[in-house]
Amino acid sequence: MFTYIVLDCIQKISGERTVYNIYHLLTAKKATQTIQDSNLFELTGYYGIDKSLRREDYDLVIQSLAEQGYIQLHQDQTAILLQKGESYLQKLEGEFQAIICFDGTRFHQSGQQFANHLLLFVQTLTYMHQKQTHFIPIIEDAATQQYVKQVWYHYRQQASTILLKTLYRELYQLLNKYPADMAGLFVDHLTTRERVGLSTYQIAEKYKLSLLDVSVSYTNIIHDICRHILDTDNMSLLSSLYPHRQPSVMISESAKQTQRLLSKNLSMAEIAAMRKLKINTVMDHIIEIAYITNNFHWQPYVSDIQYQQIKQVLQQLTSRKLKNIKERLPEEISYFQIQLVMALEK
Amino acid sequence: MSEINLEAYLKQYFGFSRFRQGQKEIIESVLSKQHVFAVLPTGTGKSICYQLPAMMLPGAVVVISPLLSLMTDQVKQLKSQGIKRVVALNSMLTPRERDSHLANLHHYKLIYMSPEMLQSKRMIRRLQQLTISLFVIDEAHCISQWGHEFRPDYLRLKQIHQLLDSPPLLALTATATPEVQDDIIEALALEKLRKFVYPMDKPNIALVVEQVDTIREKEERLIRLMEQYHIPTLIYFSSRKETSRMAALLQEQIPNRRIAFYHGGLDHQDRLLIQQQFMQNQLEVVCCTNAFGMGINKKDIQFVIHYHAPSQIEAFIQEIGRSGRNGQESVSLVFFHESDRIIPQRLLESELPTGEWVQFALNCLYQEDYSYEQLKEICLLTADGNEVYWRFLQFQLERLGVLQENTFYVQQMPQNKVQQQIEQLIAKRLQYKTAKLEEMLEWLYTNSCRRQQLFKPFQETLQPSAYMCCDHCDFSWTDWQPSPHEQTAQEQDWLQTLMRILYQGDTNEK
Repeated sequence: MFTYIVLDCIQKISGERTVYNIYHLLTAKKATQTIQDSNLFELTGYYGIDKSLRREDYDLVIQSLAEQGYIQLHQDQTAILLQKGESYLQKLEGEFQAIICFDGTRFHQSGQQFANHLLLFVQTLTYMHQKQTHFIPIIEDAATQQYVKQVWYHYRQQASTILLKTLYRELYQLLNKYPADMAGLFVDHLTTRERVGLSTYQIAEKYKLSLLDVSVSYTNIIHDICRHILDTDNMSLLSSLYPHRQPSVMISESAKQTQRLLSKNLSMAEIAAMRKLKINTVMDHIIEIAYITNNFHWQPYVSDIQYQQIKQVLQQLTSRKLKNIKERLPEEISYFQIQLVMALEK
Repeated sequence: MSEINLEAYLKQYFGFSRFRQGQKEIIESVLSKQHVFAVLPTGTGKSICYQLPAMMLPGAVVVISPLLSLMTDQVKQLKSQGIKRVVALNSMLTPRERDSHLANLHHYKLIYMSPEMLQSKRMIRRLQQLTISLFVIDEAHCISQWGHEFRPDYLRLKQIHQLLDSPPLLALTATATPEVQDDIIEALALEKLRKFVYPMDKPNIALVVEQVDTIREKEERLIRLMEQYHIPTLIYFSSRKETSRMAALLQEQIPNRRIAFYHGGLDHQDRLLIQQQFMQNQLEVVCCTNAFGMGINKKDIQFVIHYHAPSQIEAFIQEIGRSGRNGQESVSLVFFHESDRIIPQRLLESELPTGEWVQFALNCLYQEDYSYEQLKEICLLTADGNEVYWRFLQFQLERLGVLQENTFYVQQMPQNKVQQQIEQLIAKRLQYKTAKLEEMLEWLYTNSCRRQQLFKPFQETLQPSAYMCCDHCDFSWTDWQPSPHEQTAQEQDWLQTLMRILYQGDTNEK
């Protein structure tokens, strides 16, 4: 699955960004650039889906794709899909497209928290069911333990057999649509009274997958569960493990501060002066904010006519290279204005 | 304190009905406010000696331990037993966690702490506000300059003990030769100190060494043994890479056994899972480096194999002591190939800085006028983040008077003199470590009883062996027939597994 993701990214970006922009996308390096790119190339789903991915492991994948003739790697670290890669990607698409559920924009943070809550809750529930109140928690993080404790308290009146049955039903419903190995890989992560979960290495070995495949496949199902929790009503138990209170909007810390100041009607120049930032940085923030805000108030930054002009060029051109776009527009229209309209026209 | 009382407390807090060798005497002495030094072999429940008093005494018990994993494992273990008023203070905490623990310190009965944490004045001031009923120095051999794991920070513990108004002190170690014991006692400089030394030899562990001519032979021999003996087994390697390579090889050759690898380079979650699987008999064989074992309290390990010989006898004794904790017949096997000399020699050379490195650091200090923080930073940077070199240098500079309270006084001693002194010490340390390695290797070549030779440096008499003794006395593989452990559940498809682990009886539940 990991190979599929990388090839998919390379195809969508089609040489307009480097392979390291893909790495930053997968690891959610919250640079404004990354966030903009993911929107631009319709790759937001992959945002932050493997935050612990190591650069050297990623490099190996890229290298091997190049050696096998799937992609062509250029001097400037951009890459394009070769003919052989195209057909390979198509083959992989057949295998994965139906089951891919990544939604990094929404779940890159909350998904991880949810997964930890789920692991610890399942362990707690099965131990308690067996009247074993003492056990070594499989998640050591104090915040997770606190959270699960609260959820457990919430259910204190319910019989553990009912909870187990509900949990089973909800998980079954979700996992049933996956191929057996995918579902198995997920179930093997769980630690219960009956059995300690398998480590990433062990799962990789069992299903003959790479470590990276295991990691993204697991995340994929976690995102799927999160989506069901938020978009349907039939996940009552799992829903209580989802960190509802912290909506995870894909925006950098620094941009958040700028957003607060903007809401107080400060101008870009004022914000830059106040925060001791370059004006360009504040512009980047505004673009970032534009991507995630409905009804963004863009009128201070671009006139109606300019907006229409930019929009028209965007519709005509397939390339998303800013330079190409700017060349076709009147001189006075800035890169910032173009990027802003691109964000708003998403 | 009467006898019945103590055993009732033991039962109440830890669920055991009887004490193990030494525990009771030590606890009684501690409770009657004596200073105690004890040598208790691995696996005999050293920690009960201060955990039980912590439950019984007013105020708090402070435990100094150099091993982060041991500390956190013990805290986890205690919490899982329902003993919640315990805390571990170490460098892994975030500043916020540390502040919160410090503010609530009076709430805890047992406070685990790394020696580095104790160096801060803030920490000492906070401890001075508490009632400390017992001050425990775990792994006390770290005090001895000639111990196998000397820690400079340990030498300052004596002074800190005094700052805390000298509460009863308990120094514990699992391995110390009489020479090291004397060194520890001298360093503690306590007037009345009771000393308990218990024999380190385990009568139920047979000692076997097999010399092999080729690496291939080693592998084949290991595979054959793992096919034959279906019992919980630890296999020690000197490199991380080898643990994963051999685990894969073994698993491929013996598909019906459950084998995994473990080393310090795995991520935290995976390490935790492997430990728990081994504890719950989901795994039978763990290929590991010496990072595994600390704090693992598994009673049914029966076979410890050293694929590579360790670099010192003390470590070896600790590692084989992880088997046979219920007194059952167990075997220690060391494979030895001529090339095994070279790796440990290189390893121990890398444990100390080179003369050039010291010179570089001293240049920064004497000629570039670096501050304490700057020097620390450059030292960590140039040593690949290996803190050991920096701590070594820091301690030497303090010892020579050039560093006092994190400020340099370079006029105290000229650079070349400092260089010379430190280099001499490095040479001496290296010589010492090489001698330890030689001692280990020599034991591998022993022609007489291995048990006698192994424990000779530590004790005068031996307990009679409970089963077979060693390959020079009476050991034979055909006479070792431990009963095989039952296999864990068979592979199932995901749905069956999910139903089983969530207790969903039959398929009609669908």
